[in-house]
Amino acid sequence: MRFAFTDDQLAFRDAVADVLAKEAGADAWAALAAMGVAGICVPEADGGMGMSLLDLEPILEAVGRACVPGPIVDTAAVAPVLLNAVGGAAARRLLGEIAAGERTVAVCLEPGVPVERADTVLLAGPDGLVAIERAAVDAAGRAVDSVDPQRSLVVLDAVPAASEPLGAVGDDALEAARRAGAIGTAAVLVGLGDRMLELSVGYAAERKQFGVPIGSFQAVKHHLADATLANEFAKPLVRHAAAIASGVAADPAHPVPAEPAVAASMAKAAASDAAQVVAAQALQCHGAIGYTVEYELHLYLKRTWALAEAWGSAAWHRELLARRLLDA
Amino acid sequence: MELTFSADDAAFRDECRTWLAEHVPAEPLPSGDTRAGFALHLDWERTLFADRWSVVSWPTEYGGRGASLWQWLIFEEEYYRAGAPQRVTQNGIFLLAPTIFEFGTPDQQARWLPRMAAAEDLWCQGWSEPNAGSDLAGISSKAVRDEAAGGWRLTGQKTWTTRGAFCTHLFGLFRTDPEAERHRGLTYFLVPLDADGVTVRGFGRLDGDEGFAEVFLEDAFVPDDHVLGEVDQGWGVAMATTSSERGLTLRSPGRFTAATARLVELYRSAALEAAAEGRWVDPSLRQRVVQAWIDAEAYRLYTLGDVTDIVEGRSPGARSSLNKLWWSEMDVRIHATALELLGPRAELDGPWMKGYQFALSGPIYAGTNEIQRNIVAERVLGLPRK
Repeated sequence: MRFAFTDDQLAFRDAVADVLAKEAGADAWAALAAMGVAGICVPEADGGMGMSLLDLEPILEAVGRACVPGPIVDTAAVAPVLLNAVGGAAARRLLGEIAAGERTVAVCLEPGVPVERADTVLLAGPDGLVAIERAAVDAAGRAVDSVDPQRSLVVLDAVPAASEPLGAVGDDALEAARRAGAIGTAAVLVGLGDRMLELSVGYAAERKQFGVPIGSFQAVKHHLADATLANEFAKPLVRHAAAIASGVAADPAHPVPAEPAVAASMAKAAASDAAQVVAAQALQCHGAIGYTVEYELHLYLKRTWALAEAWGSAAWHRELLARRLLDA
Repeated sequence: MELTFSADDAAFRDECRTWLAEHVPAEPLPSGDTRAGFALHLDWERTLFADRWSVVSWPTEYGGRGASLWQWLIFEEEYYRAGAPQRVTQNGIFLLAPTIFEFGTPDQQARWLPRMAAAEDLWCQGWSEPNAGSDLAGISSKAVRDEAAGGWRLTGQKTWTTRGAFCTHLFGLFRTDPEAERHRGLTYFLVPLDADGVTVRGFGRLDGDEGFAEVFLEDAFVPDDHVLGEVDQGWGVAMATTSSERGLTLRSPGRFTAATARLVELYRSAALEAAAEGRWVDPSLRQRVVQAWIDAEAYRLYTLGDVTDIVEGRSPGARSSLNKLWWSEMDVRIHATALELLGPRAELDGPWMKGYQFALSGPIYAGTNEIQRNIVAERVLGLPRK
């Protein structure tokens, strides 16, 4: 038993965090791509690192902490699952381009649900998985606005004619992709939570009212302690889900079923709730400055609101768990 | 990351499970916080001790099995899964003992630990006083040096002392230097309750009879070798005890994993019964049952991380206050959900109502949760004290 990351996993995360501290926006994506982040879950034969979601998870926490824009979870965590399951030359070419950092991918498993704009949208339609290039997506899709100004969204209501069939995709692969999306997003959410807490603690220690830092008031302390509690107890569930999804064997004596779906739903439910708690307390502790667009907190709040509901809300995942645990 | 236990640990689990299956009383014992129930629990503690299950993580020379922290977690999981009785010796074996291991002299360890393991000495905690609860450093009970007799004379009053009326010994803080700053000048004493000048009066607790006691001390003599740690350094010694109390030793994940498993069973039977009678169970309760279960799993995994850290030499430090907040508030939610599932039968005297009342004490004892939130804010997050 050892519930902790390896030194290598932590070193990779720290290297990514160092780079992200210096780069923003499109440059951040380029920097991540240069470090091979997009190819962590791509097989070595396709030019990737052949590692697992467990290796990617700490890096996604760092991505959340830096509020990096773009479809990183879809590209690095979800697309490799689908493309690897489908196989074939076209899918393998896409895997290679992902690993090389040459192609961003958004994944749409239910037409009508908004996805981020990317070089390619992978859409699971009635005839299997198709790849749609950016130009075709823009031509056939409807651009919609996200609350998060850094998320550029598009809705595809149907499979556009100009799409490249990649092959049939089974339910198992679709479920694995949903789990990867939920776990990857959960990792981003706890990273966002860390950053919102960091900003709030810094502000509360600095901002003075009544002649003292507001962070010396118990009411403010307790808000931030609650936020910390929620985020710190979401993290182990997210890391555990990444481990189970990566094939790490579970303790056979433990009464909780160690199924990937159970682990993933626990992780996303906890991370969505925790990030919402942290966001609410962070805004409250910042007061009016947090409500402006002149200070960075709003970016983290908006990303949280978007991602808390993406890949299944907390209530949706709890209902999935209820069906497995209570009704079975 | 590795989520399975070694073959040795798995064998240890089998041994625990087998022994518990053969020995756990078929009928639950009456509450150990009552006089009659306490006596029955003592019999159980001695049964545990006879087969060396009372203090598995202690060295064998003191009655333990030298079990690793991992094995201790396994023992706790199996213990609560088997529905075994509450540990009325917990304040000694889980709180005082780690402090004696850390601060006690070899003589003190040899003298106190084996008797504690055997449930011969029964320890209660002497922290709170009528005017010092959350503000532990505000205690006024004092110890005055008796040079001629080679010891100390204790005077003052301790209160809300859990099971104090049934115990034989008290550990607690007394002020040895009245001139010193509040946190200094305190000393950690081990006090036999049958010493001259000690009077113990049990009184009713919300959830049962005589679960609390107040302890009056009037010039009660204790010899020098009953001081744990250095004179005037008791605050630091006491903080080691509170760290055990808030952290993983007092409330291991096993009890919450077991409680949520029972909650799931309760939900299933309520749903079956409702379906048979053409009723339905409030759908929001499904969400709450699942949430309780997620919370318990979060605590288990968090603890696995904690133990990994401890085994590898990283101390959780003030983060133990996060543990305390989590388990105590989770315990209330688990039981409150169960009571809603029981509906009109919730008020009947039964394990869930008993458990609910006990759970409500969790956010109060071991340092109120308001204090824990202050500690998290100041010592984990680094917010200013003033």
